[in-house]
Amino acid sequence: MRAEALKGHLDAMLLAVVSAGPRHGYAIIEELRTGSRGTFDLPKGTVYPALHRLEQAGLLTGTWSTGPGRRRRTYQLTAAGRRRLGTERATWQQFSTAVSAVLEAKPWPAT
Amino acid sequence: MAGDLIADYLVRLGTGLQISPAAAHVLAEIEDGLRCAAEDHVRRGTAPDRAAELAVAEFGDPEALAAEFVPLLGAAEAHRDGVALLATGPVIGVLWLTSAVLAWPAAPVPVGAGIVAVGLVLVTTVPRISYGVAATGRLGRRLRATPASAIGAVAAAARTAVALDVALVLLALPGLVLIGRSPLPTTLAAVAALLSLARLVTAARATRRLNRFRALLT
Repeated sequence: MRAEALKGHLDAMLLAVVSAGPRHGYAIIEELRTGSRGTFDLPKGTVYPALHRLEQAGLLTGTWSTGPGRRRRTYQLTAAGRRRLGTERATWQQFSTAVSAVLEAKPWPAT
Repeated sequence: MAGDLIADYLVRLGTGLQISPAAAHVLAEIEDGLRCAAEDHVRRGTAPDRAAELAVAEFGDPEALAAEFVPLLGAAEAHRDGVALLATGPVIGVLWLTSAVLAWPAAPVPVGAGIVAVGLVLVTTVPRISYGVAATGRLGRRLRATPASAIGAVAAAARTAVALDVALVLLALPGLVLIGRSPLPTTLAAVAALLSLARLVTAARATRRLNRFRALLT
């Protein structure tokens, strides 16, 4: 799936992935790919600016550590991020239920 | 060869990010991601050279990635600069104001006029810089400000701070030294002038960097 199709949903999905526990950028990307069964196989570079944007918005917090012989940045959900994720989940449930109801409705009988 | 491809990618990305002092952090993070991706391919049986090729391809165009980072790095820098201006402003202002009030009886008209002029500058600058700090921080989404406008607001405030500090140091300090009857206003004015000079230098640098960010974004 192309990145444009995810516009507006990427942030919520990143928050959902990080809600399971602290993750570094590549682990988040891989979890997004495997969690969507390969549907969201985005250009990996696009995820990093999104993580920085979420950090600037105070929804994630990033910390540096030393990985396998190199520096590694790990992201964690903040309290504001957890609240935002809750809101995003509720909004998505409402939206997807409404869209499903319309798309899957049986045609009205002709009058 | 594998290392070269990743190093080349980072050089191209770094060229697009050289405007920011924080570029090294972004490069370190992307390097970790690239090496993770290459190692992942090697674990699945891909030769190291091919693994590096695949990793670089998966990360996309480095110039496009740099372009995505520029507004974020610019906003982060504007936020830091704006907070620094907001934090130092009251300290420097109180020092100047106290020395001016102490010197008031000696020259009420010029000192009073100076206080009113500085007050007018602050009334226009403080809201602008507060907006810039808010728009480049956590309230950015709610304010729906473009990075260029938010960075521009902080850059304009930094320019004003430079002009104000130059005016205070050039005009107020000699005046206060001349009219000061006791050493207290003179000492306070000297300390204020030193702090103003330090802020002048940092604000001038911030203005230059933020204007470069703004030029890239508009």
